[in-house]
Amino acid sequence: MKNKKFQFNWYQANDTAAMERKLEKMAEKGWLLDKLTNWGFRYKRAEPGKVRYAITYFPKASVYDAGPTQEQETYADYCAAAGWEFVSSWGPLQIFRSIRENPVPIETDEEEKLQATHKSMLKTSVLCYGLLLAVWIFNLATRFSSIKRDPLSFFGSDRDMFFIFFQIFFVAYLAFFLVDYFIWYFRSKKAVERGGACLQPHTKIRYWLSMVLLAVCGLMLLALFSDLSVPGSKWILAYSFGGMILIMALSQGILNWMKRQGYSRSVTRGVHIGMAVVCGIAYAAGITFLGMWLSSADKLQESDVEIYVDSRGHEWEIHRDELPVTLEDLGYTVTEEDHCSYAKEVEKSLVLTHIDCAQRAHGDETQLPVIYYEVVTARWDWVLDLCWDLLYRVGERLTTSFTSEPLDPAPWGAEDAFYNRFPYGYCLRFEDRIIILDPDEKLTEEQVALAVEMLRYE
Amino acid sequence: MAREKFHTLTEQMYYILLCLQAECCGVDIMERVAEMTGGRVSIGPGTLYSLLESFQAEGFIRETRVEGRRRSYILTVRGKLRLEEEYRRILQQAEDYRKYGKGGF
Repeated sequence: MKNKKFQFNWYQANDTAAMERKLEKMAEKGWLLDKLTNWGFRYKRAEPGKVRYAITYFPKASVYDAGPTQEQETYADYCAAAGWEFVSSWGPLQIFRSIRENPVPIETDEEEKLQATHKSMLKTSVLCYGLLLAVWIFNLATRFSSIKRDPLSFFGSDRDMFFIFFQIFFVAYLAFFLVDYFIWYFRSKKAVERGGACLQPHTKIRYWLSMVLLAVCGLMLLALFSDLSVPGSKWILAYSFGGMILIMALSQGILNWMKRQGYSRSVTRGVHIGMAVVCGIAYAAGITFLGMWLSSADKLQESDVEIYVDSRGHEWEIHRDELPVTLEDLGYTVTEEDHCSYAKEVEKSLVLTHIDCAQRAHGDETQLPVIYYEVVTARWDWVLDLCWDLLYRVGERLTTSFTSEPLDPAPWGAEDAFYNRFPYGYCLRFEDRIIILDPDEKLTEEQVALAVEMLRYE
Repeated sequence: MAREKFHTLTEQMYYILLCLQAECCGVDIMERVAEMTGGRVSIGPGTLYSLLESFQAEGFIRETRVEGRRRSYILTVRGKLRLEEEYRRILQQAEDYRKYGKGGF
């Protein structure tokens, strides 16, 4: 028979009444709280019985304390004198229990109770959630601006889309927690000023809403694993999750070790925060380097890539991909001496397919033009509309001298058209696709028209 | 903020100060107040702890002895004045009731 039991603590920190009810129910079932850990409640088996629990906040206590401070012990003595036995604490949160029928509550002044809770919350959950929210909002803003700069890469990658949904839902979860807490605090403050009691948070509503938001975040993270076709993505994902878990375990391990060694609160806090910052920077740098290393390693591993060195010693990658339109299709004769590279990259996601092609000759004596084009097709028209709109405005975001100029789409047989000298060239909107091409000046109008015609029905 | 807080004393604040006219250990205050009021007023240990801290910060009481974790306190002159002021306020309220409470309007 098991004598220990663990349950996650899903309650929000200011919902002490719900936690007390939970612990009392567990005591009736024969499980007494043994310890409150970082993650939840650890119980030990006992005789089932009626036990009263009281969860209070002692703002002077900190998670960085090696043990109970003298002030905390005095506080516990006062509680013991009133019949409350100290059970466990986590930072400022203190748990007591009593077997008396009607013990005097630990807090008999609602104003004092509210202020103790608020001070403790500001130091712990609010600070932590607030910092996380600031970091993730900044991160989200950076990602949105990168989407505006390169919408096709974003919509072409399921991973990027799932990750941004994860970020949005995670930010929503953090914001929900903070807004919910401050609404509770200000409404409780008003109630207390009017002589009433602190309000009871809506345990069930907030529990389910938090659970739904966190479940969606979890699903989005799981979805990241569904697209492992991109080279190196396995390693990046393994690093992202493994690294995060390792940092958390390391940080907790060091914190526990320092507390066991009896270091002072300020030393423990300094080391812990310093380590978190260093690990965070190392983690971010690690992802960048891993990405760079994998992309260079992948290039070398591609079996159909040859390296050609021209007479000036420059190295060129020669790809042999199958392109929908080639210089040969446009009437050119390509020989071995031209050292032509046929490169094609395909980004395919749940909503969009983006093909990026280039044919370029690297031979010393070559007279061949360069052709470069992209074809974008989408599952839904609105995605294509959105990409079109973002592409049109890309120039404005990159530099003012390369804004998009609307063109007459009729000669192309397109629905809409514009020209952007950098970074795209001609952008043509057809009913089911967007074609982007940046023709070499050596190409004639007829050749460009032929290329578009071929890409349109490719 | 503290001054605003103690503008009007709550019943619990009043009895803690009343109790501390004579030196008393913090932990014994709860029992003393319960005795003084026949159990009508009870002070929770958490509330007592934070009120003692606030009173000390405001200069209404001072620490007299520390024996291990037992700390004793006594009212200061400032605390006595505040208690008397509160007493007068309560008397005034009683007086007003006598004047106007029983058909005096």
